[in-house]
Amino acid sequence: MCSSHPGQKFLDREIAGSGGECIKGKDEFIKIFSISIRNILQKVNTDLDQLQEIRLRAGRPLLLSAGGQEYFVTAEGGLTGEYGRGWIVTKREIAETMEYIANYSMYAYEEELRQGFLTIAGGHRVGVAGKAVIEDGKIRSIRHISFLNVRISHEVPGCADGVMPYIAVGGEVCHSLVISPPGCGKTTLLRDMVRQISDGGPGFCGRTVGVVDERSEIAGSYLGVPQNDLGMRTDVLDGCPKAEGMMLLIRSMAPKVIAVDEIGGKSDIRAIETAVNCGCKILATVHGESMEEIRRKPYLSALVEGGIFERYLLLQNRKGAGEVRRIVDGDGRTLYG
Amino acid sequence: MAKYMGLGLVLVGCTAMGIAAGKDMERRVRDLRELIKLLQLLEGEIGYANAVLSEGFRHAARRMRMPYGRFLEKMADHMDELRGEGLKDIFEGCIREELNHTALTREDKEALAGFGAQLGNLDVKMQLGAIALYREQLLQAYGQAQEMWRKDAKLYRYLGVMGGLFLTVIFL
Repeated sequence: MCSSHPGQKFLDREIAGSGGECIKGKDEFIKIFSISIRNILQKVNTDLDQLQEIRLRAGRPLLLSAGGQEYFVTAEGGLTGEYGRGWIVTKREIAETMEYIANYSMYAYEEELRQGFLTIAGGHRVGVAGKAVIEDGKIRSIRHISFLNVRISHEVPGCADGVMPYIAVGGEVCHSLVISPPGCGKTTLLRDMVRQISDGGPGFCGRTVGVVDERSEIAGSYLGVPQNDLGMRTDVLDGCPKAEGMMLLIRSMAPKVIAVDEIGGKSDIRAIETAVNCGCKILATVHGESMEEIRRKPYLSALVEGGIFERYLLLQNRKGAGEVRRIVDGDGRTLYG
Repeated sequence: MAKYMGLGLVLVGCTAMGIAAGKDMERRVRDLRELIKLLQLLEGEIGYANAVLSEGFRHAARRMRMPYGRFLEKMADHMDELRGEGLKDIFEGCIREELNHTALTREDKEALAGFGAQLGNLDVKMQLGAIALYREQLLQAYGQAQEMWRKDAKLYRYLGVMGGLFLTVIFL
């Protein structure tokens, strides 16, 4: 268990840095860090698949999350639970790291900084915090960046295998809504659903899929190129508001299926209605625990009551992220779970 | 006979020196014009395309003549490699490696490196401001260089010929 109190051990086990070949396959990824942190992380003995987060806080120890546990990273690249042994990150190291993350071009990430995160090559996300610059009551930028959270992007190809028979029925894709609380893997599931629908499968022809990736979470695009595999027939509109993006894709790319993450706003719902009227199938996700909660959401309820969605996939995280709890059809009949 | 050949060589050599001095001035004017063109391209890349610097440099490199195209390509490569250098160091290194044989003066190169140090900062407005400021400096230098070239290139040529004739007469 993690502790925020200095000096207190939050982890019994200590893993010593072994030197030699360490954070496997991560040479490119590690380059986003300042030279000193890069040298330390190179010595850390953990696998990219296990790595979840690396946190840099000015004046605090370098923190790494892997396999569901948090560790402080020592100067020798060892992982420890002792606060005092962790490498203390300096403001200069954070500034240098930001310079590399933005590829010497902070100005090009103005909009992303306003939202508080950047997507980098590989689809990884870097959350930032520091001094917010406010203009007309809105965040204009973030200066004096002193906190970074590098979240490692993980694709789970095949995680949608189990749900595909429910959402692709008789060679047709059903309008589907993935419902789950945060951290249950709804974006990961949506990503794999998109990939499989785009590529096609046994008894199911691939479809042109349009993805509106407002927060770069589905495709993890870097300089417009998706870093995650979304299939061979997928077009991605990155960093665009969902409602505008859906309309743009319908006009320009003629998708058969449109995928969007975390719907809920009035404009999203209107855009979905328009897309459905245009003959597009919808794959969407929404924060929620249950069907009842979704029915209570102000705008989304209209879609549910209108019977737009043919499948509702409810996720949970009891045994692990991406666990499907229940699949319900448009009439409320439980198909699974 | 050898004496006359030697005198002929002195005359040709001096004339060539005069012509070369004039040509250097012309080359500097051309080089400064190339830098102004680079700023125009960069302004478009940053202001309109919101491209990161390495991407902007690569796009601009395709429209620049050598060695400026190569200079920009090298800059972009260094930036993408993330070797741990600062932007100013990258600029200075690439200027040293690629622009050494241009007609740019030491001051021109220092100004270019100084401009590089101002890039990459927080917002687009600042970037465009830095570009505008450097362009103003360049236009001034370009105007002066052009004026000097017009006025002095002919003078250098004449000086070369006259110097050669003078030496020939003395040696005779």
